[in-house]
Amino acid sequence: MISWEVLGAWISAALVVWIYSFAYRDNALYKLAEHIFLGTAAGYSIALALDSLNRVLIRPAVTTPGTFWATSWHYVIPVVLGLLMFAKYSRRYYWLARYAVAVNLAVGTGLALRAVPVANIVRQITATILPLWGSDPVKVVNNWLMVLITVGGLTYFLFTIFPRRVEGAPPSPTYQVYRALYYIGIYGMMVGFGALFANTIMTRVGFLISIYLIYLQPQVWASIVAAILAAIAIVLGALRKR
Amino acid sequence: MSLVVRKYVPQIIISAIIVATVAFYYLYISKEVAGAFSTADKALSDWAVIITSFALIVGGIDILRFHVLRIKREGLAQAPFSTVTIALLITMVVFGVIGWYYSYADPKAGITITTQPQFRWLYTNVYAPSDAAVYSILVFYIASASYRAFRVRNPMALLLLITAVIIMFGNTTIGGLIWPGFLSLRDWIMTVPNTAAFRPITIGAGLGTIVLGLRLLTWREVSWMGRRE
Repeated sequence: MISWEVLGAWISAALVVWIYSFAYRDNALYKLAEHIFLGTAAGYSIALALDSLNRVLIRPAVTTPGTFWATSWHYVIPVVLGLLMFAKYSRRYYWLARYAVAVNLAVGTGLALRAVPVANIVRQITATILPLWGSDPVKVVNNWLMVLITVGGLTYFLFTIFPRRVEGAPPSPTYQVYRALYYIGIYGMMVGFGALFANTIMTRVGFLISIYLIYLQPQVWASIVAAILAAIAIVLGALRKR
Repeated sequence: MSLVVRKYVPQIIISAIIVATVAFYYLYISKEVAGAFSTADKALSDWAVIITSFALIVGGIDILRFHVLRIKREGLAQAPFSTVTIALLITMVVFGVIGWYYSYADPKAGITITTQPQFRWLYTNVYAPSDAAVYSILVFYIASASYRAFRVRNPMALLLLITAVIIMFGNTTIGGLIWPGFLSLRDWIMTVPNTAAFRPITIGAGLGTIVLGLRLLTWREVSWMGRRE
């Protein structure tokens, strides 16, 4: 008799192969794997939501009801708001769901508004204020690069009004400085994007290798059978289209 | 129902909560008030967690509804696939609820929603591999994208290519064998130009977040309401 472990390994290998078969062509087995993934993902999300509700609300209310109702009675409000979310299915009372969305959106925005000014702006600016002269030439060059690329990038992204150049007249110093910073910004970002792209490729390839090692290699026969089935599905799909 | 209840009250709620959340963090009046602010802040975060949980449940029900309607609309061609989705969704939830029940009925067993054995089996053997495969299938598309991106058409594309090659060689053992300098060059690129290149993007994203927050606060952003009044 097949154990649950072996069955699980066969299913894992088959799902991986069928999902990868989409890289060649859409087919019925890919569609099946896609729907299996969707069903489990949706079910998993609901289960996680129930787990969250259990942790924050239900368990404290059941295990320590006295403390809960004395200090956390206001949790009834988000529960009512959460239930109002189901009003979105009504044509008449759909707007009730907005109350819950409003609270969530406002909390998220409030949290972002208090973290972002410091983390995204102040700290980035203070980290760019670097000494541009000193005894260590390597450090000085690095600091110049850091400042110029940052200011150049800001010029490219934020100062989007380019200074005008008068026809026939030589370019003004403001124009020249702006243009130089603009190009330094672009070239700096190209280096950044090159690094990002390389890291993305390496991460994905690493992921692919780990999937091969975890799911495909231990069950070679499952992978082969799944691949044959996917090939048959692709051929049948192509024949049907003709 | 009047426009006030449908549109303006939610907007007032948004403005009030944004102001309160920011005030809880920045305002200091006295030690007692700071303590009350901290409690209120924690409560608001818990409110968001509870509402998000309901939103996830609504999302799951949306998927269920969508597939039931799809079976009705598209008939036998779609039925097997949508039935699989519906069946697995319900199965996962049922196993989760069984785990939930046992977490109260027999707490010593240590079974919870996410550690229920059948739920774990489905997670490990169905959800996790398909999630990983869907995520990593992008590598095939990245391969074709990199072919297009790495074609040297101008100096900028050349710079992108050179940087990417250096980083890839710096990250692999073969790079170090070809030329040991790849490692230090990769470190320098990541520390200096890469950091500097992403700094304006971070600042821009921060400014964008602040602007969006202010738009919500001043009722200029209304797209979150969905249907237009």
